[in-house]
Amino acid sequence: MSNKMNGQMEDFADERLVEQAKDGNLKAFEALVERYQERIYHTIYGFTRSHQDTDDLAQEAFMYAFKSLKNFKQKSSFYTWLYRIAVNLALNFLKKRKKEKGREDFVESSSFLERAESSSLSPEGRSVKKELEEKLQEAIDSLPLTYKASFLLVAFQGMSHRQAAQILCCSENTVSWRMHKARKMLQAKLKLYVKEGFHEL
Amino acid sequence: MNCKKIRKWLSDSIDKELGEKRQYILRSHLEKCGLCRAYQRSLEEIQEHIEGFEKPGLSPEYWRDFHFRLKTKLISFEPEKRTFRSIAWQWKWAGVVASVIVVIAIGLSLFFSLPRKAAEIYVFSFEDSFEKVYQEIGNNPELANLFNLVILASIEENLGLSPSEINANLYDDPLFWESLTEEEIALLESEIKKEMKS
Repeated sequence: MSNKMNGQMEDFADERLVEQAKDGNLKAFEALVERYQERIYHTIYGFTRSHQDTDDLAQEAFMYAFKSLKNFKQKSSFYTWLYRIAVNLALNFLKKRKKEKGREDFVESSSFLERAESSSLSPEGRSVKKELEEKLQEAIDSLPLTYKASFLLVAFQGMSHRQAAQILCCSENTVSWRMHKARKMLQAKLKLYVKEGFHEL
Repeated sequence: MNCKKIRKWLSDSIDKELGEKRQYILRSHLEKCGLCRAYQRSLEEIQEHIEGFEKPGLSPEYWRDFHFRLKTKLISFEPEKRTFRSIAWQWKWAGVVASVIVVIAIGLSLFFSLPRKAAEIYVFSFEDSFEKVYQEIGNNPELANLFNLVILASIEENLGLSPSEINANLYDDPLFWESLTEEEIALLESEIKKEMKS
């Protein structure tokens, strides 16, 4: 996407870009993609933990949004609508994948991502941190899908219960209960690490 | 305060979704309850750790490639494909509409070409009705008695005659029918109709 185009459209409100994209303006849609690509990517990645799958699903989400723009009545914000598409695709993907494979194959060791270790930690601290991160990730992956979806949107993405409820098409109260249950499950699974490991860091 | 409720509120509190009043109750409870304080610490630690998760860092090259691939798909979806689809769609619908018109036309031509029977008009037959009543009564003395009683009550009511003045076996007396006026027969007819309906 050219910088010139970015300069022209980066200040446009979502609504304006959506209207233009509906009229077939591809650049307007690309501006929307650029605006939300990272957030959509990180959200999907939270579900899949795989770069390759996230890449495919992110492409699919944007394609689906583009194809369905005509049906988008703008009752919610474009951002909410796009998130709903991405989350639904990710959930469907997980359901399908869960049937096909065991969960062991599911959590990939992704060399692509190469997460940066905190330089302020000692080698021992880094290894403990990594282990905890893996345990926490495993515990999150084992959550029921509906709890996991709420948890990823609220705890990871920092959304309010209201925003998460709009995306997941449920009530705020439901999101609140799912968060509570998810935390309870995580706390039970990570009891030992929370008491021992986390304090040591 | 119930610890279960407090733990639910703790979760809401971490998400910054708890009202002030509940926050106050929560703090008061935590001051007294060591188990809930421990639970609070563990939840906060989990949350802190989650916030410290490294997000996948993606290079500008990755995003350029991402846009390129997406744009290729978007362009291939755009006008030509949609126009082609819409034409195909229109032809599909044209076929469906034409089939429906042909079916309706054939149906109408068959409908008008078939010989029609004259509409049958139902005319209430007094004799037929009595025939049915007789058949119903048959050799059942109870039904015969009931029939007599109904007829007698009707005559008594309308002509003002006492039961002793009326022949109890009216339906056996052919002269009885001959002597009735048209109005009386109509009255009997209406009574029979009511009986038939019930």
